[in-house]
Amino acid sequence: MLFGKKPSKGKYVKAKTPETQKKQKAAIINYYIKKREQDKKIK
Amino acid sequence: MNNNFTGTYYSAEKIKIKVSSFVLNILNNDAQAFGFIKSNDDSNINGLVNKLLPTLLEVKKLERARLFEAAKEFSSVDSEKLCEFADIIFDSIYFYDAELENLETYIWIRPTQNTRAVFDEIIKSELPKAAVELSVYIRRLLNRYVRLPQYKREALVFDSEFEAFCEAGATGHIIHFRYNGEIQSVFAYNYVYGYGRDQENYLLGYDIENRMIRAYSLCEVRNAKVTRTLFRPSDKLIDRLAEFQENCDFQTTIKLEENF
Repeated sequence: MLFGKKPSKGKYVKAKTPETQKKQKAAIINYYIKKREQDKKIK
Repeated sequence: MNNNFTGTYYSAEKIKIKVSSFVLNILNNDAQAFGFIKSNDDSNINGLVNKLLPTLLEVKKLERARLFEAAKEFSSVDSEKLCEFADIIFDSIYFYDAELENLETYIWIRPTQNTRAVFDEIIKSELPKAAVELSVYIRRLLNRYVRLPQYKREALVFDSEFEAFCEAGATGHIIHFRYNGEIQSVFAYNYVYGYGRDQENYLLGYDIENRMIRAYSLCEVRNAKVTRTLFRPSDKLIDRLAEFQENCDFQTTIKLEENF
């Protein structure tokens, strides 16, 4: 689906649930919290 | 465009924008990566979008102007109609929803004092052309934004800081900015675009007060202002800066003891 090319077969995946979205958001935030802690240790 | 409709959106001073979860994930990622973080570690997406929106609008207008210039070359007879047609094509190619059409979630944007003029411009000049609501227009800008690689997104978010650094580099004027809470007075040497695995943009410069050659991470630069003071670097300093750039070790700093 990159660069405007749609897949020839199948359809879009089902919309994500609010729970999935919360988990994804938490994963992103946790990743950056850990990254910031690591950066502090290096400095 | 229904004026009442726009007015309702705007008078509420809070705009609800439906987006796909993919767009929300990228905005969450960028808010965290670029330092738009609330005190509870949550992402400040409103802050990020408010910082970003003026640049996205500027880029869209520049791209449209380029397209119009190209269109005019083909027809001098009815260039106005051709431009209108080109505008529709431009939107359908660059700002389509395609893979982002599942609008499962939403974000709230509150215009700030700095971006109020940009929102006004979108409502007065852009919406009549695009014939869409304000929230759809902003969603299209965000859809375009999230397709870009992270280094490019960072450069767009910090466009004013990046521009100021480039201006200082071109003119030789000293640039002042806040970095990790400290005011820096810097001779702007060069920049490195999208370096390494994390795709970071670095600004390479000479910290005049501390006599240090160092690389500044673009996303941590705040309140950049080019001064009127010229800085004339010695040849030795330029050589050392070139060496620093070639070594690509941007986590280190080089303290210069001698009188450069």
